[in-house]
Amino acid sequence: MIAFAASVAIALQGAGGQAQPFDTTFAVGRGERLEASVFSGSITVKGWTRDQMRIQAAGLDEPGQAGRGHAGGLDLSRGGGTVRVHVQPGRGSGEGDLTIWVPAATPLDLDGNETTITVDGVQGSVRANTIEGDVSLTGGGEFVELASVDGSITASGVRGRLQVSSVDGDVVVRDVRGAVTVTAVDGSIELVDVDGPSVLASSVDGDVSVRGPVRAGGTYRLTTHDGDVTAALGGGPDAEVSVSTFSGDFESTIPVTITQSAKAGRQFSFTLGRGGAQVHLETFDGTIRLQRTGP
Amino acid sequence: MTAHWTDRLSAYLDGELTPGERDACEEHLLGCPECREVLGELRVIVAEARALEDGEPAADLWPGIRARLGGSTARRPDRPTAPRRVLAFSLPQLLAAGLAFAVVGAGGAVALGSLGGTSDGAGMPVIAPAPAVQPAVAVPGGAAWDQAVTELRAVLDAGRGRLDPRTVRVLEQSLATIDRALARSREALASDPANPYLNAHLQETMRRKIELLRHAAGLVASES
Repeated sequence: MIAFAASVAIALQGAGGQAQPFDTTFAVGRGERLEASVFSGSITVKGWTRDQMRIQAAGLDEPGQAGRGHAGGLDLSRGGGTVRVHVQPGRGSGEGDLTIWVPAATPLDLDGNETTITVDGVQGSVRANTIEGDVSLTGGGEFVELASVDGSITASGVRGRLQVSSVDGDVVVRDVRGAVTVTAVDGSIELVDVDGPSVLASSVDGDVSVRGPVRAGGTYRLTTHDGDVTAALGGGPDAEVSVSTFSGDFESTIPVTITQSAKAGRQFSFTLGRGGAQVHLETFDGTIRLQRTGP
Repeated sequence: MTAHWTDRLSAYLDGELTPGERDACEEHLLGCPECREVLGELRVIVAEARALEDGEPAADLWPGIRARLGGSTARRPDRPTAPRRVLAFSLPQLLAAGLAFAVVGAGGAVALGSLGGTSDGAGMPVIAPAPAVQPAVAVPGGAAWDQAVTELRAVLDAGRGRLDPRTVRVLEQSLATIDRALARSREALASDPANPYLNAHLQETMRRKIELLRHAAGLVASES
């Protein structure tokens, strides 16, 4: 087991003056967290069944490179129940690719600047935030928060609350059991097989769609300004549906009987089946589509 | 929201809780939108404070947050212990960030009200009551909203050199997207002022603009 109470800077130099890949494995305690950041490059985290953490780093600075400060550029520290791995400017260029294996339940806190973040096979809470780069998550639980300014975000298999924020990029969410909140400015949002007490998806310029069973008593709110909204509902569906648009259209493959209407038929509501769930569909000027899907 | 957890949010943010306390806090956060909102506000304060020397903005923001806590006895968050840095933002700019919360909160309340509900019961990340601010400040073109946008915009403009040009371009494009949506919504609302959907849509779009500007200001702060 490696015990490192204080921050250590990793400087590795091979015989040829090239930076050597960094690779270390050490035991970690139950509940120990991982905090990792890369300024430019990638972070890949994989969950495994061992009570160990393995950290690989590649693409780090070459030692002695002019103007790049500390060779290697990787900071590794441990304390307060957290393992910290940082590749940031100051000790180097901040460039590198981290691959980290963690016990599946490890809570993760991941940050990047020009960084792609990929997480696979974990079960604990995840916070992954990058500025330029895609974020991809498979797994995760409790509270999952994903964000990118310029990049796509995909999440699947989350078992807990999921919160996604994209400025310019599409969002795809699949197979989630928990409340979901997704916001995008320039990007579409696609939600498939999401089962939670609330499913909220909002874009400004992009299509928004949800496909899957409707949870009894659940709240669904799909909104966009410039784009289409599609709700392909299964599991009955039993829902109170409200439709609102300013100059858009409404299409439904499910027979509906409008119970309330206003504004020349552009704002209305109706009940599907026995009601129960609340479904709100809104677009300023796109098309709202209601479809039945699945069993 | 309980005083116990509001007292602990700052420690949670600073990573000072034990693993057990942290887990309990995160479990509480899952079911408490008010505490999540307060946590979000604290995060911004910490991010912006990292750009300051021993300035006072946090002191000026704290009463507003305390008011949002409904008069709770929550202690003032500990000052962050980040390394001393050169003053990056003016006090008005930081106040604008705090004001933005108030405006957005009020706007959210107005939007919900216009939809005939008080809560979606779904843990939306924002939209908590903002008793310290009158909803009227969030009307389209309202002075408080305009001021918040202006000040946050100034933070972005002053700090854009710290951001990657591509990031700046993306932010500007997205702000332009929101501005177009705002313009079209206002135009539509002018022809149909009583339209509940349009009122709610405009408020929501205004909230999105503040949210994006706040995000951009946070990026500038984190790069300083």
